[in-house]
Amino acid sequence: MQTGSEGVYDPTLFLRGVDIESVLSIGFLVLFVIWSIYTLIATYHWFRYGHRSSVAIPALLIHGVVSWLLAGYAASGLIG
Amino acid sequence: MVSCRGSWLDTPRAVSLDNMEEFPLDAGERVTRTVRKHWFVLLVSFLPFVFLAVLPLIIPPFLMGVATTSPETSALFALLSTSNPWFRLFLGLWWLCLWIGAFNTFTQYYLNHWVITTHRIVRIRQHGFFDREVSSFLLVKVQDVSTSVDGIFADLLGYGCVRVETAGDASRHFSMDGIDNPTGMRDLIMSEIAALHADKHEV
Repeated sequence: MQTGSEGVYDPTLFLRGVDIESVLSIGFLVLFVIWSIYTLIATYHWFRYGHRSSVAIPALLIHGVVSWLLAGYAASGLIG
Repeated sequence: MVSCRGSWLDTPRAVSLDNMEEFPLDAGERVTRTVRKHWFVLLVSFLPFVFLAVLPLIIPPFLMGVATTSPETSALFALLSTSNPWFRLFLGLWWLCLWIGAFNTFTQYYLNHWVITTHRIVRIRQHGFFDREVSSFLLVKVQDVSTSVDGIFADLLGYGCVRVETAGDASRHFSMDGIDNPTGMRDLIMSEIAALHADKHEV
């Protein structure tokens, strides 16, 4: 059983040796690459096939804003 | 590459990506209506994403209630709250993945549509990214147009299916599923067909 310095069970003890900055950097880089590829492909489709629609730009803007808000929320507890 | 699948509905003139247009209109042809699936159909397709989004918020309190006998397990589940930065990290990334899926659903919903013109019905189907099908169906070949409304929500909200059948050697059909006001759509198609036949007789 993993226990902290006070002898109390701490299930997150194994995380204490983890370099948070490295984990965050790699995790967010991977996610950002996946997100960027997806967004580029979605944007291409919206502009190619929905370019006449007034929905295209707002939809892509909302996608971008919501994505960054969620990414910000994910990082909020570990950065700053 | 953009895929335009071979279909009995395809006509060579129907698929043209020049000038970012998918099908050029004939002389004297005009677009009467563009139809998409009913908003409720989109809403229903969002439900799995909503369910999966709230799941991480529901499960920990539920498990905590169940696992009160063991203080160690309780301590573990107590960490699954938004006050824990690691849980927030997981939650944010989980929601981000779900958001991408939901946005993808909306993109497909929006790019899938039917265009009714004075000469034909054009079906544009986005099966997935880089997988698109554009097919058209001449109104002069239409033999029968039928509608069906199936289910409580379809009946209450007024959406359903329009099925168009052609005359010819092999009976073929063209379905528009989950569209708003199917009877109105049938009437529109029938009126366009009547107008086409009237023009023919005048000539």
